[in-house]
Amino acid sequence: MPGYGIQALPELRDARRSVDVPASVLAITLAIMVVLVALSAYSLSEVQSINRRLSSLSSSVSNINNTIMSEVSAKLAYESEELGSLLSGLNSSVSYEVSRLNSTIKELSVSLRFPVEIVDALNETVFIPSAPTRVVTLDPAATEDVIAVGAAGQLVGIDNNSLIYLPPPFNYTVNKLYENGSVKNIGSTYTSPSIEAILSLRPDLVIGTAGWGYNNYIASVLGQYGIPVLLLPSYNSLSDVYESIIMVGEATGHVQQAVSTVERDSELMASLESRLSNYSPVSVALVSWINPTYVTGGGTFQDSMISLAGGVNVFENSTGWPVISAEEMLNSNPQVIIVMSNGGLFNETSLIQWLSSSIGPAYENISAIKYGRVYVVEGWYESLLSEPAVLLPYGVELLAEVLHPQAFNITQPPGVISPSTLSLPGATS
Amino acid sequence: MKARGLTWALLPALLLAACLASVSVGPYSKVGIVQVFEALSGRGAPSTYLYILSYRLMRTAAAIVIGVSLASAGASLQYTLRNPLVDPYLAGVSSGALLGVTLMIYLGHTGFLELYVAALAGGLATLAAVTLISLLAGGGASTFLITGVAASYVLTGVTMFLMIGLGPKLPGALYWMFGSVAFVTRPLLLRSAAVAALSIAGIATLTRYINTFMLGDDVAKSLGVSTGLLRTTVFALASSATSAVVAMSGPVGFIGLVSPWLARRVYGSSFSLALPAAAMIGATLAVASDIAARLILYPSEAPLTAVTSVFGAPLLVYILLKSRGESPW
Repeated sequence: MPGYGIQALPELRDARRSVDVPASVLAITLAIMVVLVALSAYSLSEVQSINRRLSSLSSSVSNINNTIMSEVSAKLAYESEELGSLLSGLNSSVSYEVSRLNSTIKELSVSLRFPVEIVDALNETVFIPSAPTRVVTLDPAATEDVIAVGAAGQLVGIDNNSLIYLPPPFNYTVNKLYENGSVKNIGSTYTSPSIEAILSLRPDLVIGTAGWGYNNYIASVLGQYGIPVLLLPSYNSLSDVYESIIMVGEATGHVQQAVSTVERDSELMASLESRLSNYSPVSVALVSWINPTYVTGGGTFQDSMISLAGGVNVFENSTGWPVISAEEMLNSNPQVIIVMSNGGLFNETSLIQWLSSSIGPAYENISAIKYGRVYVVEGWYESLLSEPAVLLPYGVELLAEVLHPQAFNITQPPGVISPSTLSLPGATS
Repeated sequence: MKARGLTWALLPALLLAACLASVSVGPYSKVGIVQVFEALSGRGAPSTYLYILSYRLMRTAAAIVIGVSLASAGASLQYTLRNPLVDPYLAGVSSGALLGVTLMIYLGHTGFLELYVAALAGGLATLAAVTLISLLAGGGASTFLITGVAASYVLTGVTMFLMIGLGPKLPGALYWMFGSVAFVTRPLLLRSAAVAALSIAGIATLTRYINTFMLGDDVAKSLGVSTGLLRTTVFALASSATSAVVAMSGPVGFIGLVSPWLARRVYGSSFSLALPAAAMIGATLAVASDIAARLILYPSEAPLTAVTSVFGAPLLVYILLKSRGESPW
C-alpha cells in the first residue's frame, strides 16, 4: 500500500503481536457469514429443485388432463343428453340424484381445468398446478374478488386491512371465517406482513394487487419457494377491475361465477350511462383528508369513477393524491365537494374551518359552498369509494346520485351520505 | 491485553447460539430446534418446515451481513476520527445512502448494483461533508455527532420529498426506509454479502495503519503514515460496507455505535482487537434484534432499527453523560 509508512513504536508492536487471535476471530466471523449465506442459498436451491420436479410433473398431468377432458366431455355431453331425455319423466328423487351427479361432474371438470397458466399484471406467468385449496389474499381488493367469485371456502389467510375495511356483504363472510378459525390474519401488507405467517399457512395460491404495499416484494420472496403469487392489475380503470375478477376466477377454478359477476357489474354501469346521457358533467373535488388536504388527482381509480358518474375532477391535472391549499380549492371552484369522513374524523365543519382559517370569508365564493353542495361520505359507503374492486360500480352509482340527483328522482341528496341516508338500488339488488 | 483465549472463544459461541436461536425461533412455533437438527441430520422434514427453515436461514444470514458490515464500518470510522460517538447511521452515511437508493428507484432502477453505487456515492459525499463541517465548527466529538444528525435530517427530508414524488411506487420505496431483513431475496443477499466481505477485508488490511491514529495525527504522521490518504480510504471502505447494507435492506441504526464500544470495553482499545470483536458482536446483536423484530408486532414485521434503537440510544446518552464535555475516547 503506497503512502503508508512502517511504524516502530513499542505499543504498536504489542498490538501487532496480539493480532493472531483477533485476526482469526475476524476470519471466523466472516467464515460464519459466508457459511450461513451459502447454507441459505443452498437450502433454497433444494426447495427450488423440488419445485422444478413438481412443475414438470404437473405439466405431464396437464397433458393427461387435457386428453381426459376432451374425451370425457364429448362422452359426457352425449350421455347426459341421453340421460336427460330418459329421466325427464321420472320422479324427483332420481332428479335429485342426477343433480348431485351433475355437481360431481362439475367439480371434476374444475379439477381437470388445472393446471392453469395466467399472465399477471407484472407480465409474469403464474403457474397453478391444481385447483387451489389454500388461498392467501394480501389486500382488501383481492379478498373481495376471491369472495365475489365464490372462492371464500378456499381462503386460509387474509391481510389485516381485509378484516377492517371490507364493505358488506364481504365483511360478514370474512368475519365468520375469521371467527371460526378457518382464516388467519397475516398482518398488514401495507406496513409489512410476516412472511413466516404466510409460509406457515402452506398456501398453494397467493393473490394481491400489484404495487399495493409490499405485495411485489412478498411476491419475489414467496416466488423463491415456488408458491404461485398472482398480482392483479392495479386499478386504473373499470376494465382493470373486470380483468382482476376474471383472473381470480380462473386461478381459483370459478370462471363461471367470475364471468357472471363481471356481467352484473357491467350491466349496472350500462344502465348508469344511459341514465346520465342527458346531463352535462358537474365539476367536483373529492377530498380524502383535511389539513393537510389530500384530494383525488388525475390517473387514479377515483378520477375514473368521477368521470363515469358524470363528473369532472377539478384536480385531474395533478397525478395521484396531491396535497392542495385552500387557495387552490378556491381557484378550482368545484360545483360539488365530496369529503371522505375517514371513520367520522372529518365533516363539513372541518372542511370550512380549514378553508376559512386560510382564506377567510372568501371561501363562501366556492360554488359548492355557495349552493350547499358539500357532501360527507360515511360508514361502509367510504369503502365503495376507496376500494377499487368488485363493488366499484356501486361507488360510481353513489357518486352519480350525488352529482346528478335529478336523474335518480332525488330532490336533494343528504349532506351526510351513508347507508342509512341514501339508498343504492344497484347495490342492494 | 485483558482478553485471553476464553473471552475470545465466548464471541463465536454467542454468535452461533444467536444463529441457532434465529433459525429455531419464529412466529410459526411448530418449527423449532428439534426440526432444525432433524433437517441438519438429513432426515426428511415436511415441505412447510423446509420453507420456513430456509426462510429463517436467509434472514439470519442477512442479519449477519448487516451486523458485521455496520460494526466494522462503525469501528473503523471511530478509530480514524478518534471519536466513539460515530455510527454510520448517526453520521448521516446511511441517510445519504438511502437518498441515493431512493433517487435510483425514482429513476426506475432497482438492481442491487445500481442501488449500491448510488448508495455509495450518497454515503461517501455525506461523510465527507459532515467531517468537513464539524472540523470547521471546532471539531469536537459531540460536534461531529450533531453535524451528522443534522445532515441526517436534511437528507431524510429530501428523501421524503422524493418518496412523495414516487406516488404509487411509494410503499415499495418504504421498504428501504424501514430497514428490515424480512424481504431479502437470494440475489440481493449474495451480492450484498460479496460487496460487504470485500469492504471489510479492505478495512482489515489497513489495521496496522489505523492503529496509529490512536496516538494522534502528529504521531501518525511522524511514523510516516499519510493520514489524509488513509482517512479517505477508510471513509470509502466504511461507506461501501454501509451501502451494501442499505442497498440490501435499508438503514439500520446504532449497531455501528454499540458494537465497537462493547468491543473496546472487553478487549482493549487497539484497533486490531476492536475490529474483529466488534464485527462478531455486531453480527450477534443484529441476529438477536431480528429475532425480536419478527416477534414483537406479529403478524406484522417491526423495522430492525426500532429494536436496535432500544439499546443503542440509551448507550449514546450514557457515553455523552460520562464524557461531560471532555473527549469521551
